[in-house]
Amino acid sequence: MNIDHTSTRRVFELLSRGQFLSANAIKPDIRKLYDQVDEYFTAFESVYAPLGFHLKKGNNYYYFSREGGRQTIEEKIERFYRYIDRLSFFATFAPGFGEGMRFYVKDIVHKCNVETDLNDQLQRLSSDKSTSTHDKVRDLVEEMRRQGFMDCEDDENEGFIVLSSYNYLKDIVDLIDIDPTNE
Amino acid sequence: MADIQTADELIRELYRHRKVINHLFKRKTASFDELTELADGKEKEILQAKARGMISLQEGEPARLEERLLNFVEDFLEINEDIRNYEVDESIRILKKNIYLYEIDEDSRERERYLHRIKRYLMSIGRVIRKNAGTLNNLVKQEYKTASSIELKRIKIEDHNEQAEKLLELIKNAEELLENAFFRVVPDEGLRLIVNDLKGTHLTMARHNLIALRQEIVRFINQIAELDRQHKKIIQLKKLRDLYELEVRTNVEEVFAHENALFFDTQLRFQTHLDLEYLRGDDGLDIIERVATRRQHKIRMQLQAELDIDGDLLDPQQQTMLHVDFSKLKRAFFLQNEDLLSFVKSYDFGEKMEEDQIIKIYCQVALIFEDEMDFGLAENPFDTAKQIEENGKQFAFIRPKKQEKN
Repeated sequence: MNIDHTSTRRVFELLSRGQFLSANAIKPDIRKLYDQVDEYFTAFESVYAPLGFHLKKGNNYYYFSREGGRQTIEEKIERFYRYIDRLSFFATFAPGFGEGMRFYVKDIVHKCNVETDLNDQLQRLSSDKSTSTHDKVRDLVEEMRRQGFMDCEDDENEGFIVLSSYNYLKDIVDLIDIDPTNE
Repeated sequence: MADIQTADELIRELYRHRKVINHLFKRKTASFDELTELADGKEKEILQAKARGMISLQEGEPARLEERLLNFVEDFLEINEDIRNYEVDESIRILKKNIYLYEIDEDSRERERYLHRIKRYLMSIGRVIRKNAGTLNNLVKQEYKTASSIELKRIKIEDHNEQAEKLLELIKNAEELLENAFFRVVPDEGLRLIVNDLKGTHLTMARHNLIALRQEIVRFINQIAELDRQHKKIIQLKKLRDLYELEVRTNVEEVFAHENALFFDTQLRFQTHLDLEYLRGDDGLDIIERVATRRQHKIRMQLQAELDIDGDLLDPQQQTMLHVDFSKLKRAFFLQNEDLLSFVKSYDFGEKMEEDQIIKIYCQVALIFEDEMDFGLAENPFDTAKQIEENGKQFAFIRPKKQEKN
């Protein structure tokens, strides 16, 4: 086992907060962590397992799962609702929106100004009615960044990139089967 | 003015207007004045270029290179992006015709001419097929990456798929043509070389490229279909969620019964206890002092808020529900340079504020965001904390905490 404990600690700090390790992370040190976990997966896994944390692998991302969390199924579904809204918003902005996509906040703003559907979704996502469209979009993207699904590449021009962790949200969507009855 | 009649004239005219031609080739369009400048101010030169069919100059339109000239340059430099499969088609047709003519015409001079044309078109077929295959390859990759929507990707890639198919068919036609007895019978060494080159190198390589490309196209088409499917599903789920039908119409409950990602667990902060050894040290002592001083301020502020709020405010008739957005307030406070008390006093809450309401809000903001505030505390026990005096009362001079640059 040749992983050093700075790495195990850093990976733990990140993943224990419910965040993800993305293959296309911008910061080089996070990238390095991803590569290490990728290469020495079993070693990392065995460090965390005795603590009750299961290291899970997704499509270009890693995360923790844990039995006996305090969340009920309802609470988890509620939380996921919010993400359906966000997935839908970004998918409406750009079908196929996902890992690796780059965008500028102003492009989303512009599209909101011309497409009513997109704008409607934005209004419903934002609780504060008085902020401008640009502020609403920025706040939304910032929230996604804080949750670890996006990162800022170009601070000045508000250019962002979608991280691999976004696949997690899509993977859950994939798991959900819709009843095929047509009404 | 007469059209250009000979190759010699053509080359001379091309050379004469080379600056203009080069400029227009690079920039696509230009104004008449720009071109005149290039010709050292001689307008007549530009008009001459137009007359000789080099450039097109239309009323109200910018100048461009003449279509024929543009095609020729692009063709020669092999940078034309159009896949002109019809050229190959036509070349094969002409080849067949010339082979036939060679067979039935007995005049040896004519036969020489046909043979010459046959060689020319054979070489052209090889060149064009190879170029088209290469261009298709680049186009497919580029357009898959850059097309802005799933639909556009699909349309473009399917179009290229058709072109690849057509090209493969043309290669087959060319190879069949090369099986013609004519090529075995004619005793021309040059012809034999060309045919071998064509069969062995150009056509074979192009075919391999195209087959690999077709496979890649299939992969892309599948990926596009997958993206489309995912997209539709997201929209469907959103619709169900809006109608509150998600739990009923899907297996979402089952999915989340098994989904234990920490991401969904919101109780995640780990609180560890203080290290007593640390607290007994110098650093620890500093921290304890600071926290103690702050607590004193907090208590003082709280008392003030409680003492100054009049019983009048409890009168239901006078009481108005003032909704204050503290986040918004804090954001605005951070954007300006005054201290917290002055800021709150000058802030427009949309209605007239009593002094005690102002103080109450000042206290609330300070407490809610205490982690982000600098309370003007003394650096050491011999200094006094920064304060403001108002109506005989002392208030802490509060500013946003300075952010440390990481």
